[in-house]
Amino acid sequence: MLERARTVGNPSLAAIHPVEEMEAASSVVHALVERAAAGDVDAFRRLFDRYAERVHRYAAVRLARGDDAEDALQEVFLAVWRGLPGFEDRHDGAFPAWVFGIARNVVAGRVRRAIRTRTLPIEDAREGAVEFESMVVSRRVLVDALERLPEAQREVVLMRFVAGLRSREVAEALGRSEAAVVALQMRALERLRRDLGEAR
Amino acid sequence: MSRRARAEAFERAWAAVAAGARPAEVLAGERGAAALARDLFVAGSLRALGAAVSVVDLDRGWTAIASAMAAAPAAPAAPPAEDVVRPLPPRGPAPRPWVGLRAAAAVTAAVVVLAAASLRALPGSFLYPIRTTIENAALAVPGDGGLRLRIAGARMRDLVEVLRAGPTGEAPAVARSMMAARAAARSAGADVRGLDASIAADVPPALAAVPTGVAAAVRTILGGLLPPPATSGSGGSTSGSGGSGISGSGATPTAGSPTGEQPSGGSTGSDSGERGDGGSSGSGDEGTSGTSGSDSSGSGSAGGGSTDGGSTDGGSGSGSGGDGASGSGSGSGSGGDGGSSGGDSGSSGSGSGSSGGD
Repeated sequence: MLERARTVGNPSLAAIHPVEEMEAASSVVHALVERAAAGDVDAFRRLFDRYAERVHRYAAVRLARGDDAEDALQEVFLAVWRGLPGFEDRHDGAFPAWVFGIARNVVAGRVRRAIRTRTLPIEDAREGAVEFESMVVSRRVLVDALERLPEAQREVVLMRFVAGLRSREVAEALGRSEAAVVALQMRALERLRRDLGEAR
Repeated sequence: MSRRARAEAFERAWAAVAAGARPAEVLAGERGAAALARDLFVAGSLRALGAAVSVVDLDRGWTAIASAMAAAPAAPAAPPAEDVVRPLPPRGPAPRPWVGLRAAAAVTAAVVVLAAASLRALPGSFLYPIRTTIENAALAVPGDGGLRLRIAGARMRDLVEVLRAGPTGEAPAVARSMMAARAAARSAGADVRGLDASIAADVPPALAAVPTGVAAAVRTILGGLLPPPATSGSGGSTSGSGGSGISGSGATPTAGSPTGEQPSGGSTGSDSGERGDGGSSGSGDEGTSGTSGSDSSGSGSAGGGSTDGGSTDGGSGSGSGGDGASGSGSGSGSGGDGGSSGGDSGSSGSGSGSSGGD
């Protein structure tokens, strides 16, 4: 809840992506995972509070429609709840990597279904602008540029920058080496930079 | 700046920015600051994009999840096996649900193509075993005598082909396969008389060209379906002998030119009725054409399989004839005169003669 409050009340960039906090809290996470795996619903609620916001952001950017992202969020955490007894929290970052691995599959399934049923939204939600350090880019331009990326590059930058995972966690979620993830990330940034530069 | 150095510089800068530092401060004095600034702008824009997503109502989301969890109260301590979502392995390739299906489809397509291609395969081809396997599978289907008869016919044509064009070593196996298919057709009630007639007519001529061991093996396998081979041959310089039979034929020799001008080599005659004379063949040194034997009603026609060769002496030829349901005889001569051949007795007979001239 603390994280949610800070995110809502103080949208400073550091608060949205508490990387160091995550590292510091890894032992807390580990304990919560153990308790949740044993059936402790309260512990699972705390895990939900800790990661739901980022999973939702990741899903929302991919799915574009808000209610789809919320449905995906529920699907992800139900899968997490059911899978917890078999999950082995071996090292720092293993749990968020696992959660985002599930999120990736859930979101990818929803994207496929949306393509099949032609329900991918082309709506106004993408309009607007995003701002970083006084530089502004059209949200639609940014999302379109993301969609033109190869899937592997797109997944990396979404998990890395939209969801705020560390490189190691992204690597684990995607089943790749950390070096491969860094390489994909740099290529994606280069391509996005080029696309955004052309669009401006 | 190398790609790796740039990646490391970016990671350092991004960690600082994520912790709240301003990009301008982070990049001060950094090599390649301009490029790094652009990368940071893109990464920061992506983060801002995520932040711009409407904030999820965690309480509402949790309520929905909790009610679903309540519907499965045993979870997670004892979740239903079919509902368990297995945790992803820490490392390893991402799941690819379509890979198995695609592989299965590719294998199926390959099998179908291979099977289709094998239907025209001949003995000696690497596809032939596939074809025979398919046909044997068809033979296992009970009751369809017509299909079995067609398969037996196909095997008979394979046998003739392998005897003519090789590899002749495959011939006994093909013959056995044909007999098995014939037996299957017969036991299924098919009328094999037409097949037997084809075997009797087509196989013996093809046997003439193969090594005697192979021919003998095939004859043994086919047994009574083939007319007995010619057992004797006689010939002389001028005549061949033939047996009696309903019809007999002898072939015009294919070559022979004793003097280069006039072919020698006997033409052959055939017979009809009770007795027919095989065509005699032979020619003199001078290249006279061979005489043909005939009787009052016989006529010469194409010669058939050979059993005896012609003599090697000039001026002589040999002929052979046989008796039986069908017979063939051939004669060949080399040196001076053409060989002679005789017709045969039996329902059909053929003889051929060839000669070479000096």
